[in-house]
Amino acid sequence: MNKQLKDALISRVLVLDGAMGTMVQRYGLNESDYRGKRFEDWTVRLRGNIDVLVLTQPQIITEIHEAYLQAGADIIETNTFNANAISQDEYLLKDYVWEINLKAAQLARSCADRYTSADKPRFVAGSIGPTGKTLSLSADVNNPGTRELDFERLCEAYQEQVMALVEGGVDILLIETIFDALNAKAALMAIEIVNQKLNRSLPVMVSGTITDASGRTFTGQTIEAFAASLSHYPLLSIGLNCGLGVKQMLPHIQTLAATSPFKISMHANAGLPNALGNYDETPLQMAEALKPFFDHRLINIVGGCCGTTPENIKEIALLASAAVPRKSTEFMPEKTLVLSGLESLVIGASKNDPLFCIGERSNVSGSKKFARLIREKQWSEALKIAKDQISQGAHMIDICMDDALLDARSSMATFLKLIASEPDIARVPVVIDSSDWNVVEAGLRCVQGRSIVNSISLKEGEKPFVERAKMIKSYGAAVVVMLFDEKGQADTFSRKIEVAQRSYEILIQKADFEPSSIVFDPNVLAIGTGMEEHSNYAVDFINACGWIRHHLPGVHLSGGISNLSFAFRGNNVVREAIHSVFLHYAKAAGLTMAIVNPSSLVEYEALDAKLRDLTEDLVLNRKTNATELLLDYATSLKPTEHKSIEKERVQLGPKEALQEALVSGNDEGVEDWVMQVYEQMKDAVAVIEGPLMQGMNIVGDKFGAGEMFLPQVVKSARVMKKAVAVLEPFLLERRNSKGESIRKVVLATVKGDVHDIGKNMVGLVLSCNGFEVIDLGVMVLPEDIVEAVIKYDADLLGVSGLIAPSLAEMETVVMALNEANLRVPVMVGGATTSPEHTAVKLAPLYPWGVVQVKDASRAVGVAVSLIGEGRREYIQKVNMEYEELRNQHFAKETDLISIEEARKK
Amino acid sequence: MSKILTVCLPAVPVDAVIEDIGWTPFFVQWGFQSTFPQVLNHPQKGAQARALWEEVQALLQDWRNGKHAPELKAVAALFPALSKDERVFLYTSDEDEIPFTTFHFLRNQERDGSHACLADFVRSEPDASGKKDRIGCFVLTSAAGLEEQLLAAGGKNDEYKRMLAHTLAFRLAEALSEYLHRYVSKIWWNSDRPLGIRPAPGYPSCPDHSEKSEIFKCLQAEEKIGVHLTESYAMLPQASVAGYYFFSEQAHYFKVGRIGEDQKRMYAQHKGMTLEEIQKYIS
Repeated sequence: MNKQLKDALISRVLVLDGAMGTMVQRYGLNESDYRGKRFEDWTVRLRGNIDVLVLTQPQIITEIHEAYLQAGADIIETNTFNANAISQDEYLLKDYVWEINLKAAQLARSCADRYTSADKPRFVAGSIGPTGKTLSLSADVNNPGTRELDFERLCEAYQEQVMALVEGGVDILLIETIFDALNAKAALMAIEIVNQKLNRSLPVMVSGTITDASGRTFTGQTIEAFAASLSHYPLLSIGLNCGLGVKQMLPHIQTLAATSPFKISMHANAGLPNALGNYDETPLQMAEALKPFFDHRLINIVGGCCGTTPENIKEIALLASAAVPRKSTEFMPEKTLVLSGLESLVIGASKNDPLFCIGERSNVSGSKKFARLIREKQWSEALKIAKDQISQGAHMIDICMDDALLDARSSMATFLKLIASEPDIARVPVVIDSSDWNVVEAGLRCVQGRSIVNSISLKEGEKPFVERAKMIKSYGAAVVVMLFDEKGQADTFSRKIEVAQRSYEILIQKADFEPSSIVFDPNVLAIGTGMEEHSNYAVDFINACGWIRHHLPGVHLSGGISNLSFAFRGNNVVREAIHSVFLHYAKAAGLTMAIVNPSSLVEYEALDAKLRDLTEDLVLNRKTNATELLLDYATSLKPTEHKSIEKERVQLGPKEALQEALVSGNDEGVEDWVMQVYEQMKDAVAVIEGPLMQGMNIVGDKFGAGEMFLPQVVKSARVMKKAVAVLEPFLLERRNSKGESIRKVVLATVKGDVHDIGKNMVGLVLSCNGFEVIDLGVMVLPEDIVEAVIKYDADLLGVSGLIAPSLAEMETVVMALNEANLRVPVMVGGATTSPEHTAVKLAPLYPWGVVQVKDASRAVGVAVSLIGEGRREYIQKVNMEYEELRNQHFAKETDLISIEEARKK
Repeated sequence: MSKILTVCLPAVPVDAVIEDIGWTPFFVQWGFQSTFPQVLNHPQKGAQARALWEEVQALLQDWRNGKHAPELKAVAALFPALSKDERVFLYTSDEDEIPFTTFHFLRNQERDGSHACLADFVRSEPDASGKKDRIGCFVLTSAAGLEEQLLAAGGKNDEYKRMLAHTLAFRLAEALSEYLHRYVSKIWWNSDRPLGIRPAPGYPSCPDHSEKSEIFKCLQAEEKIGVHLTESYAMLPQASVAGYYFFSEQAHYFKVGRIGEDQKRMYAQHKGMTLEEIQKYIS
């Protein structure tokens, strides 16, 4: 790595530049500007293709680079976010990708060099965007197994881009705005290939994007899972950009800082976008929000993304100059292996780890049923097998398609692609199991998580072993190494340790493997076969585990267990006992994971004592006639019930059925259940406030947590409405039955406006959260709103509007409330409203709380705050924020010129 | 073609616009912040998105079959026109010297702004042959009779079905805009792709909502297709669009942004409105 860069990163927080697109927008370029002379006659529209500007308007890109350098950026990004063959294809500019990247890198290079001084060197990062297409999800509605783009094509496109950027003189490669870790893996692979070709290696930054409140990437990964997916490359930094503003980034950056050994970067947006898609956060606000990051020393590199400008970078640079960078300390003990699907799985972090189960049923050579389903392409049934293993306790699933009657390569790829759309399966890591390298590679090109390849060995000699290990590492997977060599399978203890030692040294020294990414499989071989030389196989395995643990530090151990009891086929009692005893001792000796059928695992402690003793004699090779003794005793035992962890489906009672109906939004049979519950409780109010409200609370919670979405909430509310309608006749004295009243909210769309979908959504969401909603409809006159607030003694008023004139109507409404001496807090919402308008026009008119709500998902939070116990403090806080907004509003009023002058241009 | 050309489509079949439906905004409106169709296979949101998708497809299929379907209606016209500063004058023919009405626009006045005005996309003088320039406008709805159909379908109290129908109707209105734009480009200009732009009053390039009433008058939109303007210039049914066509090659969208007191006064005077009214109707 560039020594200056290394030194700079140790001593301070480096500042990355801000948005390119936002700056280009300021120039107001039209189609002919984008085309320039060069593409004057281009057949498709080029406006919006910012990358092409390095060829057609290089002076503008230079000016923007310089503005950021003047503002204090240490690192500027090349204008190449979409300069790859996939994205440029849309503009028919595929053939210009090389030139665009080269020119962009050269432009940035010369700017950076001009601004470099001895005490402030400036660096150029080659920007590599994700392209608009995802490798991990299907774009075809009816076919989740298809992809718009494949790994190889994307990797090739990235190679071209990277090569040109390197040639143009960039210092760093920055893969950013990653919404799909698999796309980023393709970019890392491309970088590796280019590194080999050019025999050099530039530092690489990767930066992911969190799309929404769920805290996950677009393709569904948690931050930890995302970081694990890209942990195989010795990155300069890992970070986050785009998607969120600085404030919303904090918990995610904390997570990243706590899990990653690399430097941490962040370039957030200028807040969250407003209704028009613009960013309103001021440079000062953004810098202010960065303070906790600096205070807690969370970051090493910081800049701006969408909506940020040199003004932002100036403020950020000011703060960064006084900040202490994050120190990358040791995060995980060396022996930890972190795998991932949509979620991460940490193996080896604690002595109390369970034995990690790898589900074996999705294996065509082990399960006849699975093999048949794959042959007949009954994918959904096959997926169910994978899913069931996970619900039965598998931490990972092994997938094997090695069968002479199958096209293993395409079956592997298809199955893995289908898994990607099944959250219950995709959340766990996969073990790609094949003896055919082509199948393994096809599999690796489909998984966004960090998986394990099962397996490689020295069977065919050192050369293919090293080559495959290197490829596996480049794809970011861990590897199972079978103890085979040129002489064959390592069966005895001494052979096992000999081959293990040799494999280990080759992997570390020649394939650059981390010990923690190596999983040895010391060959589980069948015992009790009647042959003398087989009787010590289990002991040899267990001893080999112990030896490997002590002598090859950091590695993990696995084994396929069902082989062990192969001689006892048909006798499940004995087989389960043998597995149980074996795993007990093997785990104690250091076995980390095992390929098993999770539903047939029996706990060691739960075994019949005599059975356990006899089984131990066999497994631990303590008696010569152990097999006979064990079989004799086993015949006297009743076959144990097939033990499944899956819960039995209990017949639901009416209360539970009612709640289930609310949560699922399925209204079938609701009337009956409500009546049954009413018969039980004899109190309609209690039914509503009990089971019904509890069900709605679950819905509200799930909605708030981003697990449930609006359609589901609306359906739940429909069930609620139906249920309440059944109870209506018994509800006459509802209000008097208890002293406390239900929280009431009046909703209305203002005079002259007809917007009601958003308002209705808010109404339904509120009704899921314990509010009684009185909806006055659309085009409601201010006096009618006031009257309703008085009549219903409302706790809260919500007014809605879609079009601009409604803003003035909202002012009329709050003034009318004032005149009537009402102090009901007010929520305003709808496309035309904004925090700024509320702050400038409404809040000063009405001190009792008037708050803008962005969308239905925020309505509950605001509503509860406005009428809860801490409402005074809340309103005070909001009013202060609005005052701040007002000050900014008046401060930032854009500079205008006269209309005559404007006409001249 | 020296006179006004008009187009009235009283019943566009749903099938004609299906290709133009943008599904991403549909899912966004339902709170899924993801693009279509990826959202359907999304690990977290996929299952619920697929359920919504299936239901909206079933409803769309009903509408295609004419079952409780709203009607898609559109009216558009092309006028001889000349611009002066921020105004566009509309004439009944190329020969006319007195305009029969005026469209009022606003100009960007921000120091670092574009200084653009939609009127710039219409010529201020006739060409050498005496031919004036052209401006178009349109009103369309995809929800004519929708409320009645919902009633007839028995979904009056089913808020979910109502929302589904309305959110689908919004997408059909957008799709119909695209369809109509292609249609008029073909019959007026014999072009196979939509020409120019179609900004709508109340949006950044022409933020004054009250200008819709001029469009409605020129097209007799209320009489012809039953779209009604409220006192605040909201349209009923909700799933309706009104806008202009600028066919010039230079035509592009931009943001007017904040305007100066000088322009506001002049604009109010031209429109015969008070400053307060202007303030209210400009978004």
